[in-house]
Amino acid sequence: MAAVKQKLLLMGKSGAGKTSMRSIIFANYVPRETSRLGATIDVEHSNIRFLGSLTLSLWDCGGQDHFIDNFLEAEQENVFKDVAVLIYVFDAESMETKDTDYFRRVCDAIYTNSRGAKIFCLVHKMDLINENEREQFCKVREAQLKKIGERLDLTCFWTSIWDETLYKAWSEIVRCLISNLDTLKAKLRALCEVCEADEVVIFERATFLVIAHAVIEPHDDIHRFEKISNIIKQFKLSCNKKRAGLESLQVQNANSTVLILDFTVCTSIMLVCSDTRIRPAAVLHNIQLANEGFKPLLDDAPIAGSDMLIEPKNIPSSAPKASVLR
Amino acid sequence: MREERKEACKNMNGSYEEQTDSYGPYTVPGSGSYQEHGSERVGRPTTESLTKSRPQILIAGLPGSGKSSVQSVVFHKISPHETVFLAATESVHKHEVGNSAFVQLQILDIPGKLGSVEAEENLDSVMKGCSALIFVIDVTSENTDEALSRLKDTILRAYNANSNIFIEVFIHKADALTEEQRRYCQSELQERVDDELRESNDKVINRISYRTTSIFDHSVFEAFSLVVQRLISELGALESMLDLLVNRCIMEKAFLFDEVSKLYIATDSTPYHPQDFELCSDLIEVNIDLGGIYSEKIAKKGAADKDDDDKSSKGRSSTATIHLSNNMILYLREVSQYLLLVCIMRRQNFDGNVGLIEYNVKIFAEGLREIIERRRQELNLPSES
Repeated sequence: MAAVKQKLLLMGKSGAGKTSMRSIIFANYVPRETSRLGATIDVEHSNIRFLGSLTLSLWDCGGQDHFIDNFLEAEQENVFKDVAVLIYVFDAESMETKDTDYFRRVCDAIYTNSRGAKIFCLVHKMDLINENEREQFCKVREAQLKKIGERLDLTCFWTSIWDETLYKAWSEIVRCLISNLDTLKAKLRALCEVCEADEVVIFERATFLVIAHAVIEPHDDIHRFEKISNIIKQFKLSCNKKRAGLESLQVQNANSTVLILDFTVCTSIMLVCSDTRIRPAAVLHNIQLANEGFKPLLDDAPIAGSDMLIEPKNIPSSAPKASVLR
Repeated sequence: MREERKEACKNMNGSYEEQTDSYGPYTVPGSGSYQEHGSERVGRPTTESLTKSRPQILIAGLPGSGKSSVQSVVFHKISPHETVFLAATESVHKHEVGNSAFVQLQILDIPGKLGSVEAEENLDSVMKGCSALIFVIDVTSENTDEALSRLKDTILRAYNANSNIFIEVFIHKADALTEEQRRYCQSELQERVDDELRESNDKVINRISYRTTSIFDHSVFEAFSLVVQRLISELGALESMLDLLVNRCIMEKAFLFDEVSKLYIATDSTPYHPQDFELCSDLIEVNIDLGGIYSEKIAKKGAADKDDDDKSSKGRSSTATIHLSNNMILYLREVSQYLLLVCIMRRQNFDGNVGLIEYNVKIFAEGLREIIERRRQELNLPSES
C-alpha cells in the first residue's frame, strides 16, 4: 500500500491559537509553554506520520491579514487545491465580522478548489468565556458558521488548550481520514468480548488521539476517552523528563482495572475491566495474541474518501513509501 | 469514601468564597476578625482543643505575592492558570485541611495589606498558636525593600510570640528563573535577611528555611511537603520504616504520599532527586484521574448488582504499576486512608518478586496503622475503620 498524503489546512486569524494547538497535539508541548510561541510567518509545512501509511501534510497558515489576503488571491490555487480537511480556528473571545468575512472567503476558495473537503471550525479559547454563557454562545456561533459554510461539510468544535476538548476535536478530525474504521471497530469489539472487558480503546501512540473504541458496558461520561488522552499525554511528558518512555500502565482500584500499553507500532491500547476476578495477565496475553490481527488494519491502514484523496499520479515520485517497522 | 473526599474537595473549589465565609467568626472583614478569633478560643473549650491538636500554618507576605495562590493550588486543586482570578484576600481566611492522618492542618491566609492597629495587635495571639509561618516573597516584584522589611518584621514578631515556630520563606514565582538564578536568589536573600536579623535577634536565624517555589511546577508541592514534615513528630519512625522496606525489597526510592494534597509525608534516606518526586506525584494524579473516571459508574452498578461479589472486591486497595522503557518500575499502593506508598524499582528486582513485595508492603502498612492509630488518638480524630 502506497503512503498517502492528506493535506490539512490550519487557518484563522493571527493569535487565535493555531500553532499552539498544533504544538500541543503533534509536538508534545505543555499548554503553558505555548505562550512562548511567536506568530507564524507565511506557511509552516509539516509532514506528520500518522498510523502506517497515512501522512498528514499540515499547512499552518499565518493569520495576519496580508498573509490571508495573499493566500486568497495570488496563492489561491496552490493553497486551496487538493485539501482534504480545512481547520479554521476562531478566537472565542474576539469574533469580529472581519473574521467571519475571511472565513466566508476561505469557504468560497475551498468550494472552488477542493469541493469534497471537510471543514472543521474550532472555536478556541473557550476557557475565557463565562461558563454560564457558553451554551448560548455556542448556539449562536454554530448557526452563524453553519450558514456561511452551508455548501460544505462543516462541523463545529468548542476547544481550549487547558482541557480535553482539544483532543476531542482533533481525534474527530483525524478519524475522518481513516477508511477502515468499521472493520477496526468490529475487531475491537470481538477483542473486548474475548477479554470480558467493559471497553477497549485504541490511541495513536505519539499524539494519543483516539482512533477507535468498543464499548460493552455503557459509561455516563462521554468525554472520558479524550480525558484519558489528555491525562496519559501529560504523564508521558513527565516520563520524558526522566528520559524514559511509558511502556505500560496498570491501575487497579476497588472497582475496576485499567490497562494501557503499547499495541502495534503506531498505537497504544486501553482496556477497562470491572470484573475484578479477571487477571490482568490473561488480558495481556489476549492483547498480545490480537496484535498480529490488528497490524494490517493499523500500521498499514488504507486511507478514506477516494474523492478527497490526492490521486496517486499526483504524488511526486519522492513520496515516502509505506514502511512498517518491525 | 475516596469519592466523597474528592467531591468535598471539588465543592471547596466551586464555592471557594462561601467555604471560607462559613467560618464566620474568623472572616468578619476588617479589624474585628482577629478579635473574634481570640474570644472564640477562650470562649469555647472544644474549639480550643481542636486548635491545639490541628497544627496551624500562617501564610503571610505582601499583597499579590501569591499567598492565596499557593494555598489554593496545594489544598484546593485549583489549576495554576486559574489563580489569576483569585481576588485579593481582604480578611483572615481559615482553611481546615483534613486529609490523611498526617495532613491535618489549619491554614491561615491573612491579607497582605496591613490592617488596623487592633487587627495587628491580634496577629500576635494568632501567631502564638501557630506551628509554622510561611512568608511568601514575590521574586518578580520590584519593591524588594518593602518585602524585606516586612519579612524581617513578621519573622521577629512571630518569634517573639512563639519561639518554637518554624519559619519558612517561599521565594515565589520562581518559574521565571533558571536553576542557577534560583540558587543565587535564595543565597542572596538569605544573606541579607541573616545580616539584618543578626542585629536584633540571632537565635531566630536557625529557625528559618528558604525555598524557591512556583505554582506552575512541582516546587510548591515539594516546599509545602517539607513544611508539613516539620510538623510531624513521627517523621523519624516513618523514615526508618521506609528505609527498611527499601532495603528489603531492593527499591531505588520510596515515598509516602498524602493522596489528596499530593504532598509527601516521608521518604527513605537514599539521595533525593526532584525528578523522582515529580514522576511519583504525576503518577498519583493519573491514578486519581483514571480512578475517578472508572469508579463512578461501577459504584452505581454495584448498588444494583449482587452484594456478595461487591464485598470481596471492597477490600482491594488501589494499586498502580508502570513499566518505563528505561527498565524502571513505578509501583503505587494505597497503604492507609489517603496514604499512598509510591516506589521506584529496577525491573529485575520487581519481576518475579511481586508477591514478596506485596507481602512486605503489607507489613509496612500494618506498622503504619499503629502509628496512625496513636496519632489519631492524640489529635482527637475518629479512628479509621
